[in-house]
Amino acid sequence: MVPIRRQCKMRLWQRSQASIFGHGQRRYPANFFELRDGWVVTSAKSAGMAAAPDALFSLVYQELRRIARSQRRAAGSPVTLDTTALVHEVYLKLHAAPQAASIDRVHFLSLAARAMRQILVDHARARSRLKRGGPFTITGLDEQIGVAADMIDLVAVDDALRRLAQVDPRAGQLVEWRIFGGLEVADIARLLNLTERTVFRDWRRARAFLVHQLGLDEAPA
Amino acid sequence: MDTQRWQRLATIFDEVIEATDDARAALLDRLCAGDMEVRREVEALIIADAAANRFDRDVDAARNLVAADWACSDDSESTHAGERIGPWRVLHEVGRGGMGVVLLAERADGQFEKRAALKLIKRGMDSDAVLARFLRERQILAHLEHPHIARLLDGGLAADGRPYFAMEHVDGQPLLRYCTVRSIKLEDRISLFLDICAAVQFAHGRLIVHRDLKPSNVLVTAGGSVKLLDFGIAKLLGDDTGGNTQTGDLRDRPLTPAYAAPEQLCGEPVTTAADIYALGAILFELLTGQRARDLSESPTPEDICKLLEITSPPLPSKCTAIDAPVPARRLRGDLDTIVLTALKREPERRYPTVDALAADLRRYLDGQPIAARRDSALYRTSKFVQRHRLGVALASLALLGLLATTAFALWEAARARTQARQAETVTAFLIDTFRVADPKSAPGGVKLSAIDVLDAGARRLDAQLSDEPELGSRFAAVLGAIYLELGQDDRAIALLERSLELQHTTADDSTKADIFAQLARAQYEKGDYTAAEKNVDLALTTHRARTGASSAIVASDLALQGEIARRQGDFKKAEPLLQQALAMSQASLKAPHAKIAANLNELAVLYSDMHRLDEGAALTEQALTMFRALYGENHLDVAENLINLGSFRMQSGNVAEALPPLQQAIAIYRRLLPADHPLLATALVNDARALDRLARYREAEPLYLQALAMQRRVLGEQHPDVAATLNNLAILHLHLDDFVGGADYSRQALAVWVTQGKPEHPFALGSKANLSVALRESGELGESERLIREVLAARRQQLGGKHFLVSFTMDQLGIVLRLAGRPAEAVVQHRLAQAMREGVKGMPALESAAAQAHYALALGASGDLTEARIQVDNAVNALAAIKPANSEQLANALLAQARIALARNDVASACAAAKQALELRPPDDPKTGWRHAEALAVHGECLAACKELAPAHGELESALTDLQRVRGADHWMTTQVRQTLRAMPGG
Repeated sequence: MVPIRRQCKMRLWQRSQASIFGHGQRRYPANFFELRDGWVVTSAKSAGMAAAPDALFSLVYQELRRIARSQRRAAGSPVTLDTTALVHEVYLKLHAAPQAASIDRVHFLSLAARAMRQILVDHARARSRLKRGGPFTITGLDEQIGVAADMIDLVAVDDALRRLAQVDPRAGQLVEWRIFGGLEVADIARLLNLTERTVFRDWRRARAFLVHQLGLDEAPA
Repeated sequence: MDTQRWQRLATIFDEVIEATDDARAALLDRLCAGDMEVRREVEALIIADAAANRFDRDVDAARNLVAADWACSDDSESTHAGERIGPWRVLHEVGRGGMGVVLLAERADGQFEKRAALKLIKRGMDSDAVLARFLRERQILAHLEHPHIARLLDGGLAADGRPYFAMEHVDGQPLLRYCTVRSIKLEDRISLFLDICAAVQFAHGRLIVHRDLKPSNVLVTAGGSVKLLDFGIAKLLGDDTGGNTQTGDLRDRPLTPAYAAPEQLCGEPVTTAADIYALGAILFELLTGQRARDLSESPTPEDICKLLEITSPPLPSKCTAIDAPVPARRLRGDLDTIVLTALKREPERRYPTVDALAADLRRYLDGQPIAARRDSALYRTSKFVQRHRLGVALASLALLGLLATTAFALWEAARARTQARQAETVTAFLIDTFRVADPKSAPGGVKLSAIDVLDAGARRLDAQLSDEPELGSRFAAVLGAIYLELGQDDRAIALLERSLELQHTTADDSTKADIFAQLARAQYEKGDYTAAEKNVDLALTTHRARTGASSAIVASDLALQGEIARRQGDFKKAEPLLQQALAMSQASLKAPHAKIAANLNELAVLYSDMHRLDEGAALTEQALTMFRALYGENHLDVAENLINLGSFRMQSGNVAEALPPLQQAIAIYRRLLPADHPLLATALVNDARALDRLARYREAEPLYLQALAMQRRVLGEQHPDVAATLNNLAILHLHLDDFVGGADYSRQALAVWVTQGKPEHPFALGSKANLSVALRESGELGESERLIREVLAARRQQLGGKHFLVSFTMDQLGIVLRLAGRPAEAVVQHRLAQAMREGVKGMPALESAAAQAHYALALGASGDLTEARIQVDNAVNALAAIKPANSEQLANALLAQARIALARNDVASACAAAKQALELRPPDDPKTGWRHAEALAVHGECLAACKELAPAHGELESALTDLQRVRGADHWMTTQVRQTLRAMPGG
């Protein structure tokens, strides 16, 4: 037999168990926070602060999405979705949430309408961007989705509405409720504690502004 | 328009619009009072009002339609502008397809001026396996930094649990469009392509395969700079479990048939060669404007596979259309050859590396002959040169040396017996061993590795030496030993077993015992301890019978027995065996001697396992000195002892000093060993562990992953070393606060031990304890408690009631109990643990003090503030006395001290401790650091207790912002600070 030198192999220190506390010790003394639950009170409890509006906004946003999704699941693939019902449902669902405790129904619904507006305009914008072809291409995701033609462009409505709100904030609010929240004039009047007639007059004027701005007035009646 | 003007218009409009059509003109005349501008605008509004009904209807329809579309896109892609995904705020969607949706996003915290393309993976591709792999691999991808690779900035799980990737946002055009639009000429096309090659080669060097290279994955910016997208993403999402991929699920896998390599389409194992194929396909299209293969006519994967088998891509020069970007005559010859070499059906016939492909293209650009062609010419003309080339191409110089030595030894042995015929056979066999594998199959003949050469030799053993069983047996033993040196344990075992079979006829007990010992060594290396034990016992009996009870050869068998016992965790059995072996070697051999050094070192390893660090370090230094005296600096054994030296330094806390010997050792290994060698893997693991200890996590993880891949390839999935590396990865992820990853790796490590039938191996218990820690941190306290109690019971049984590991395990249990809101039970565990350590020498001081801080916290939580104060003060003092100082531990204890003082209304002490902790934790990395914020929060609370409300508020706000960014808005630490802030007067 030819002598073969065979050295020891030292897998020294692939061992690891000594480190388990090594991990724990690094972090856990820092874990003082949980102490507070049981026994540390540093200062008197202050009165419950109103929830940050953006937290509620985000909540409403999520809830709108959740309800829309569940409606869709129930109905298969709807051609349209009743946004008015959606907004009301969100209200029913969330008005009792702690985040919403400090705000009234009017605020809540305007929040919901704003969320809806943002959702729909963003969605429409994304879709029209797809239709036009974006500024850059990303691999594997070039499938495109059709957008119904001859439809009022919500992105343009959004722009025009922004211009309206600059000169007439109340009208801007009202249009947001009416168009994106799907609230009827009667609802809005009740909410604002105004007469329907006043609301209607505002709405009619604002609508004329939008139609004109959007160039829809030239279309044959 | 301004508000005033609008109001004027509004007043007029309101009045006019309610009048009848007939009355309107007169009313307008009167109200506008000659202001024609106003009148025109009001008239426009009135005309617009006529379209009102239509508008009402259309706008409702548009809203409901868009809403429906939005809701429909919901199931898979419910993400929209403004939404938060991880630290990103979505700006808008930019595309969607089979894998999910792509969104343009920006950092939500505004901290970094970064835009990113977010890929949100659709439902159905988020199986547990994908998620686990994703979490593991995103780190390594995030560090793939190359000027031509779009970086993976971030990745994680969106709120709904779907994985997302944030890629560097690249504003550019796809490669082909860029070249077409700008009519880029041939040389510049190749030059762009070479940039792509450089990026792919860079990634391959880091063991990352793209798997979905295609022209649309290559963007070119307006400045002409190339960027590759989606590196490694395909692997993250695809099923990469190897050859078991069903061709039927081709559609679900992120690959593009026109560019995918045949092995990808046919479900065969995928390597870097797949990227080389895709590069060939891209080059083909770049040069011809046509795709290399049209697979659109083949509807099923089976058809595609069949088509790939029976056809090969056409010559690029035959494919150019009239409007081709490059004239056909320029493609004929070299470029045809280069493209088709990259596009070979069989991976091993393509260019072996991307660099080889790039080098040929450069040769083409320089007007030099290309390699893909030149070597086949050489093959035809000069076999001598080719054989010479083969020798040069061998991967490992070390192997050459080894084989040469072996050849010489064999030849000498043969001559000593004056068996000229045998000597000739030996020579012929060895020469044939080098004349292996048909070089035609590989471009340039450079594909041969050392293993290829050996394999060819092993294959010919039976055929060529069938008449010479004794010689055959020797060759089998020699080759087996070489395989063993190369870390190819399975092949070593097979050859050594073959050697024994051939021995049966011409039995010589001593030779057989040597082979048995060698076989036992190989089985031990493989982790098959039962077989190893059996064979070493056989060898020992024979050796004792021949050489007496004490000899060098008996010492070597005893040492192996000791090693086997050590690896199985039976240290009590291992120690006397290894001590005996060392004494026997020292008695029978003259120092310096390799065997003595080896025994020194085996015992050192055992002491390392037993935590007897001083003894181990001393033995290692002795061994190192001896090896250096024998071999000089550049030797494997020197490297191994350097590693051990590093290890001991590390274990005694001198981590920074451990790095130089470690890196020295890796350098030696890289010079002397083949790329996949387990020793190199181990060295990488060691280096990684040192980096981990130095908190250089980002540098450590790629090393671990490299080592793990190597170990799995060479040692198999279920090897103890694989378990150890998995465990190290688990610890790393725990350090990175990635508890999901930490739990995942711990489970994998544990699974290896369970498969090995050793769920209570000390290392298995270590992994189980780590799993308990990971689950505890993830809030799964029940499971965490169950696991740590199991570990505690097993350790008590194995180590007795006095071992420091047992005491620390009890402290771990105490922590879980405290977190679970059972402080009284926690106090009991900590107290017992502390009592166990009391008066015992050699307890790790750092760990003991840290445990004491936990004890204090538990006491505090149970309401015993007096005792809590005593314990935490002791912990702080003990930690302050430890040299070298561990500022992290000290800061932790100080923070605990501050909290306890606050609870005792001792505001002054609290402030002092918090201030000190804050000094130990200066502002850290704004991206990943949270420790400063944590200290700041406590300090802020102390300030609040001092009624310094304004600065308190500022500090807490600042801490909250940092914690939200780094640890997330929902992390318990963040939540606590938020609550503190809310609870403050004026908060």
